[in-house]
Amino acid sequence: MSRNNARSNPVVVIDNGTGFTKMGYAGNLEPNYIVPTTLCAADSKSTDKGIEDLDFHIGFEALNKAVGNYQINYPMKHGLVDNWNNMERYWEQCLFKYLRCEPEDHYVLLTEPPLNPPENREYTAEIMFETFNVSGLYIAVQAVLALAASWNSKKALELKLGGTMSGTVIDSGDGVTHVIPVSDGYVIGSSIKHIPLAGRDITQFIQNFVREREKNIPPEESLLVAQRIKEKYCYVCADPAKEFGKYDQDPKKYLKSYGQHNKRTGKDWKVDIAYEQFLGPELFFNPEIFSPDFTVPLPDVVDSVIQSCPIDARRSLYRNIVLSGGSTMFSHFGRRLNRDIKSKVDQRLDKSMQLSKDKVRPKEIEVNVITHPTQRYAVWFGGSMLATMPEFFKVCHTKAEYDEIGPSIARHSRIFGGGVAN
Amino acid sequence: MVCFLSRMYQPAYHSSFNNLETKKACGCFILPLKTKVKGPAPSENNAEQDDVIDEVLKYFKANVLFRKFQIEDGADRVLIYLTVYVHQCLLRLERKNVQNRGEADKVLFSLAQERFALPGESDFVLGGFFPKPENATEKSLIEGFLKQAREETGLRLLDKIFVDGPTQPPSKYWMQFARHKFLNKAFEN
Repeated sequence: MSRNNARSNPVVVIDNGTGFTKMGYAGNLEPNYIVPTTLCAADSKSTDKGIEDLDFHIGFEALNKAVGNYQINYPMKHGLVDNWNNMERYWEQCLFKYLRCEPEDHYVLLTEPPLNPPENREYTAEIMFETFNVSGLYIAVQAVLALAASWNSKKALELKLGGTMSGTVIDSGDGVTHVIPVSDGYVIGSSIKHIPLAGRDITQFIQNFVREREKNIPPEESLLVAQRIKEKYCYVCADPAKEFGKYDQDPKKYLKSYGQHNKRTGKDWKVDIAYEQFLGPELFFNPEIFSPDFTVPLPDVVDSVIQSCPIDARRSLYRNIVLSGGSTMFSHFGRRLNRDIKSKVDQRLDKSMQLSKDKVRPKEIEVNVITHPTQRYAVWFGGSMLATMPEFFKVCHTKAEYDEIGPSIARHSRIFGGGVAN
Repeated sequence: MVCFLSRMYQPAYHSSFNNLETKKACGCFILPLKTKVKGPAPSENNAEQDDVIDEVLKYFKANVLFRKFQIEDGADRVLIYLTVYVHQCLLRLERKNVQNRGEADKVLFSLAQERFALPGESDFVLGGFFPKPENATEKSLIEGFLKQAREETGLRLLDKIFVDGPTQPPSKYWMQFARHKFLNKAFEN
């Protein structure tokens, strides 16, 4: 009964990131679960022989249980699967314990980072079809899903960008920021750039900066406070020097405060929140403040990524710059990025006009940075959307194909979904 | 727009007096100052007009976070020198644990009167940015100008630090910047 049913059941969508795994069913607006990609398993020396391979936990539970003879593992490293054994066990609990589905009655959509080696797709297919016996599998590139997630945003609809498969994806999570150009659904691998600064660095800067001024934060709380400030109060400003001026002129309007009860000492404490509100996200625009090693601002990186792409793809890459990941959620982030990239582009056009002595007037280049409310889990949301399209089942690798040909079918995934969401 | 474009290449903030015609000493412009302190600087009588010290204090908090600075002309050298001096003032106020305006006035006045290193001297930390004086007149001109600017900067800095009133402790929103070295340089450690 299973094979026929599988197409009418919702597709299982799992996005495994280095930090967090987002999982849920296609058609939903939000993932059902967002849990850390961690696994803790009992030592092999454990006394209960016979069932020790079942004695493991994933997600938040894994973090809580990681004491005694339990050892904590991170099956993903730098976006790639690091330990296939643990990854298999991780998926096992994702499917059975969290999503509680019968995998043989469902199609599954998994994600992979750009430049994932095809062998990894084969291993994935082996696990999915042989261990879990899923009906069908599709492995999508994260950047392409992030593009798809922006189709229904207000700005994309205004600009008639729905359904476009070309664009530049800026994906910034906790550890790294990637800039990935996608043309007609395919990632231009040679032009991808990584920035070694992201959310964690912002938190660290805020932590140090606040500690310089506020002496009454309990040391054990300071990281948490920094995280709260980052998530709740940070925004992107137009110009840091002017912003400093505004704060000093009208402190009441801009200064915020944050306080808590210290459980250990039993006393209440309070801190003022000031310049870190706009200095935190300034990391992307003036990385020099944060790191002596990496000093190229994000708008410059995006511009140089697009400039290194084939010339006929560049206009469509400038036209659709899409944000994804938690560290792109700061308010006005998109607007500042848009302005900075646009002024770089205009400057280049002006120069070429000067060089041609006004004889060649290039057509203005449109720059659009698209922001939307699902940026935090954009990749998952894109997957959830694409997996509800009728075309999805046509491009999936099915169990029958796998049995006929073998894991090599998973080396390539067909692109689909372009030009539909208008 | 133009100002913004120049920001993209040189993120730190620059002085707007770089194309002023003035006397020069050790690569520095002898810029007009709004001050009652005696010295070689021409006086700026228009109270509405910002002088270089206003610029230093306006950009201090932003500039002090940067590690690099590309000098455009002589006004930028004055800006750099005074930015590092403001940092020294904050550091001194912090070390002496100053709690009100009266004490602070004394501390910064004595700091301004102290002997300080001049361009060309071996203990001058900004040596890479300033050319040596060529003769004694140039040396005494730069010494007089810097001394005058140091004293005036200290006075105006205190107006900003004690916004809450002369009996209140100095503002923590200024004092926190004692921990940041502009261009990784400082007059005292």
